[in-house]
Amino acid sequence: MKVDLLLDELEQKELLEPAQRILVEQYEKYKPVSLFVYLQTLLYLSISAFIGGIGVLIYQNIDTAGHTILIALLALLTVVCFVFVFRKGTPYRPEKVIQTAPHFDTVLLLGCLLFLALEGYVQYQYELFGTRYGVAVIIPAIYFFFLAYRYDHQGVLSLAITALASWVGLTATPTQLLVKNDFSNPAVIRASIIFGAVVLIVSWFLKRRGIKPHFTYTYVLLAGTLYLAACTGGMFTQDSWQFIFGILLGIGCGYFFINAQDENSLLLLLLSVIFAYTGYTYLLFNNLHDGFIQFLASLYFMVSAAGVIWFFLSYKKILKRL
Amino acid sequence: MKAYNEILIYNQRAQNKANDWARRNLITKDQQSAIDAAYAELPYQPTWFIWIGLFIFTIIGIAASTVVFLPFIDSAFAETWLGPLYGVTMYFFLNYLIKDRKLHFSAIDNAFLYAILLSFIPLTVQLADVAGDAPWLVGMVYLPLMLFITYRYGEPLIAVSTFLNGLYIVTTLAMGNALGKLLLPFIIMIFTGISWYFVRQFMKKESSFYWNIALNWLHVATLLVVYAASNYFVVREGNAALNDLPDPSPEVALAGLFWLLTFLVPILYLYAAIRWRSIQFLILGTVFLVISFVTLHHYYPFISGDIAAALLGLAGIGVAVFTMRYLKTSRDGFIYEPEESSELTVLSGNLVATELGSNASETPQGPRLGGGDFGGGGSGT
Repeated sequence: MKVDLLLDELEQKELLEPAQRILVEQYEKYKPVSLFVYLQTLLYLSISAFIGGIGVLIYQNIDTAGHTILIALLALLTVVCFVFVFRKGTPYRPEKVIQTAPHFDTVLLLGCLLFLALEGYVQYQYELFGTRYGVAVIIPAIYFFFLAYRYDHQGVLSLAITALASWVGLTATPTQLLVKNDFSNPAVIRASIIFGAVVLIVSWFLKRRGIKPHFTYTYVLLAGTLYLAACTGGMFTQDSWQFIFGILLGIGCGYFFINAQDENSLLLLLLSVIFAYTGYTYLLFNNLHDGFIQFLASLYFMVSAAGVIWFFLSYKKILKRL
Repeated sequence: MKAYNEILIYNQRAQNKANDWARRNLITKDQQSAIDAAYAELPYQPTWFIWIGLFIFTIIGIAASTVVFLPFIDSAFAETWLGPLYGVTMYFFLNYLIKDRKLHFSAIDNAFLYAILLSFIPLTVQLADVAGDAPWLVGMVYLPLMLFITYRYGEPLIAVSTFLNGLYIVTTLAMGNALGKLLLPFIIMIFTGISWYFVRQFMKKESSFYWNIALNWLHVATLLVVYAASNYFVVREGNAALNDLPDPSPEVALAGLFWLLTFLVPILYLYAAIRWRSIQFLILGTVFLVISFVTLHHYYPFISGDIAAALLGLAGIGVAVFTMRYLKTSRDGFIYEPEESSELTVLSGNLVATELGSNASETPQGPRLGGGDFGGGGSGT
């Protein structure tokens, strides 16, 4: 769209004064392109490549001089990151805090990642914690929870939650959630549901107390999705318990829905609708007689899909009314 | 002929502009509200997550609605004509929905458009079969419908598919004879280059406004194809695959030229990015340059992949941090200024952190055997 035409129009309608028009025209002609997203992405991809490369390198050529130097350098870099963080961080406040030091969030995240890599290495090489692997996993979890709350970093919080999940033997990383957890295994399902429920209850309690209320989003997203996926998995694989899992799933979806309103989050709304729809549809068809199913199936999907679409189109009104 | 109400789309642009100007204090809040009121009627635009939900459930609804055809499914008539019949029905229903609900790429209409196009495939294949058995015939028979939909709706993914269909026709035609096969990379580059030129010229015209999004996608698609056709890896492995040559693939003719192009094209894109202040060129140029280095490393592994990844990462961190500082104030038409935090930024922050974390905490599995080898882990590509 040519801006000139719009400007002509606005001037004609007297929505813009001639003097302003010149300013706007100047701005449109010379306005700089923002590289914020581009540079942030470049930075994180580079950190990913760096950590990925280093992560493998530290296990190669173990017991050589070059290797020792590399480890020493990494340890030094980790210390530098944390010293920077401890020195430059703004004081703790329970509400949302924005750090003022440049690149603070990135340095904190980098420090945490290096810490993870080094801790893994020390355990592997020197068996610092022996066979008590749980200790090796819970230490970063505790440390990251502390850092996340102290310096208000939702990325580090999500690291802490995934570390805590892996302490229980679960994977909470969103992209690997369905791949790495075996949701047909009753033990995994049980652990996921309990883990999810406990984390969500604690986070709800913290929110009530006004401690970092904006963290709830990350808790619901990571622990909540694990909980919902486990409920669905339980429903699919354990026939005799399917109604119990159905009820648990319903409670979870309801909780997502409430949070979608509170956090103004449409992703949580989307997740709650998709899980609820899947669960409800499964329960319905799994318990109807075969002959009836074929007749009903298409009709059901047609009507229910239309219903959901209607819901999405008018969710703003619905949410307002609630 | 255009399906969407242009006024609504225009209004949306006007409001977006006014919003931007108000944020820069070029106009007052009152003026912004006045402009919003003057351009009040907008198309329905859901946010991303709602978009995904609408898309999924529209597809479910479209698929389930085929139930009305169940009684006819076994007849000979059905195989050819049921699809198009359903397609035409959807076409009219879609046009009604667009008017009634003021849709404009609001997931529902996108899903319908894809379904309409797909519903004509059986008929297309049969028609092409009647005409002969050359592979390009299918593309040729399908092309008019694609062009019509692209023109009428300007849907970006369909526009790109139409371009790719054109590319498919040209490619299969060229592969029909020995000379065409030999010159294939150049034919693709020339066809795509010409397409790019026309897209770019058309974008500059006011009359292209209705297809703005589609043209942007086409712009990216053509730049992508040009790079792919000139990349040494694609040319060499493609050549081997097309001619059923044994593994490892043999050296191709004009290897030097293709190596030159592999690095020249991304650099040209980066130059264009600075010259035209284009974020599109910048992203493509950066990504392709990295891919070019990976290509080089693939054939001439002068250092191990892990060292390369670590060094590349370190260089990237350096470049990013330096540029962030350099562009604190606007220079050369670029600037680095934090944008408003949205749900998407919080979400991507969470995803990035967990992804990096699972990368960083990976330790070798199994018993220690004095420095095992497990190359390739997370080589940032």
